[in-house]
Amino acid sequence: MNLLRFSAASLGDRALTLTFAEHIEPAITQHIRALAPAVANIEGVVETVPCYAALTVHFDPMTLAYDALMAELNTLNASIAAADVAPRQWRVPACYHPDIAEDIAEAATALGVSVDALAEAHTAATFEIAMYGFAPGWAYLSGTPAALNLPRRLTPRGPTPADALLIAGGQAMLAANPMPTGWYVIGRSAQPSFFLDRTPPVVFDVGDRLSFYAVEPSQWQSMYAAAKAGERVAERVR
Amino acid sequence: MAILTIDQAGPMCSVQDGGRHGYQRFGVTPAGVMHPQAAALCWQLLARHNHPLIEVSAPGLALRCDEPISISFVWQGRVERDGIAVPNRAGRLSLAAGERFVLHPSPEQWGYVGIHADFCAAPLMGSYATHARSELKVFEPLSAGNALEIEPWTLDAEMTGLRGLEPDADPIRIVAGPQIERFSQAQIAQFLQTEWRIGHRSDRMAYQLEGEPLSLRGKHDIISDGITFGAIQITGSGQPYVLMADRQPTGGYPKIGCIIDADIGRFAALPPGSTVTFVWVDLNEAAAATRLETAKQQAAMRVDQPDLRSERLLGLNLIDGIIDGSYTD
Repeated sequence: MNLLRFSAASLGDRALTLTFAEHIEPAITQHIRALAPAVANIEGVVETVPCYAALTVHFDPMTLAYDALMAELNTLNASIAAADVAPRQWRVPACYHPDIAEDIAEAATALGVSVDALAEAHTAATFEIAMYGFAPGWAYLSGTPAALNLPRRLTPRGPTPADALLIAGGQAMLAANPMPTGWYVIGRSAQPSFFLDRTPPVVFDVGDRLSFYAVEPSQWQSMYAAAKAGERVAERVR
Repeated sequence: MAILTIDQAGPMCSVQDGGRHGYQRFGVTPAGVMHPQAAALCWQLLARHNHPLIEVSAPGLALRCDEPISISFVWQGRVERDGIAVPNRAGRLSLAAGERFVLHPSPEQWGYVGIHADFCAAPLMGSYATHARSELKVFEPLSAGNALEIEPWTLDAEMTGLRGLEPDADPIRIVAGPQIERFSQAQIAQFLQTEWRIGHRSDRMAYQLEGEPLSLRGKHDIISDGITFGAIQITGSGQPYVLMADRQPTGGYPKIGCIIDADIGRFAALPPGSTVTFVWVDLNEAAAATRLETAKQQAAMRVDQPDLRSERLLGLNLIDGIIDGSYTD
């Protein structure tokens, strides 16, 4: 196994960021995802935020000095192998019908393809949750096919519907909670993925792999209602 | 059960505690108090660390309770109980049933009122912090007419005329940020030499710094990484933004530096239109500043000499006289 090296920089006096690369690469994202829980267990670490190519560590400097934390991080980084953690894989029902997927017609027109072709490109992909960010339960997905590469809107649209599937800027997102955005809503997952009263609050963790399959609006409605009531409609296949 | 009634509140008045920590990796903003040092003093007066506080914005607050209750406060503007002025800055008072407690406009941003009571509402994900933008909150942002259900504790002894946090106009101390290499020596020098003005669009999420924009080398965006309270992002236009309590957990703009923990409250207190400068320190100096915080908090709890107090009250009344012109009670 090749040792993945990082550069470390302080982020104020209560956090630091380990940067592993200046580009996005699946092996690096997977390594960070394997490292993050081990780092979170260090006494004095408050929380960790795994990102595409960086790991931000929030800590209490009165309990854990910067130099001591760096020594632990170097040791852990050398001992963690991404292969140690097998990713979970899910099949998730979603609806791409324009009645539910508010922006799919607009996005298809901008891409010069049909609505069906756009939905097929999205269901053919296997995504991996690279990180959460921006808002509660907003999962950045890596593995976006080139066919879905659409620039961001020039001006943001209003709040997204809950559990929206978004594309923009060559990236894809699963957005659990409504927020205004410059991205396009091209589908809606039938599986609500963020619950305030659960620990952890998310259904899918960083590193999980997701593929989506299309269901009709009526089917989506009943699945979504069942999932809201607590049933899990996403199927775990690994 | 008692009812706490808010008779008057400025914009961005909300219930906050130390923040909703541990969920940033799921996209959840910690939120929490904007002025950690002033909040820490209020928690000392309450004798309960991290108890939910009413965070009061500069225009002030008026409240009353239908039962007798103790309240602690940290406030730089004029303070009144039942129409009679009480020494400001920091203190603990008892209110009779229905007695009106008023915080008049403050020259500084963010003060705190600690209600000596339990709130009749469960915390959300372990916290009472209000993050209005993502709707993660136990209470709505506070406004006139709100009524909160509380269980008052037994009354505590009053403490008035406390020294409070000493004013400190020194430059705000920062440590280098993760993308410091994206800035040239000249740009860093420009950032440190500029007297920045706090923008009027500043809020709980970010303070805008107005001044000559910085130019950037290469692409202005980075692959998103973690951000923190006090991180200074330089956007594509070269304008700095200081990320505050309601920041997102991650961001895609380079960070030239971060305000050290000990200076966050002092920076947060600056009102829009005021000016600020920054100075580099290293992590050892930041740690020394944090250790000094305990001593400063203890000093803030001391009772001032009466002659000093009247002198300062006179000074503050002069300031209030100007601000009161735009304040309708």
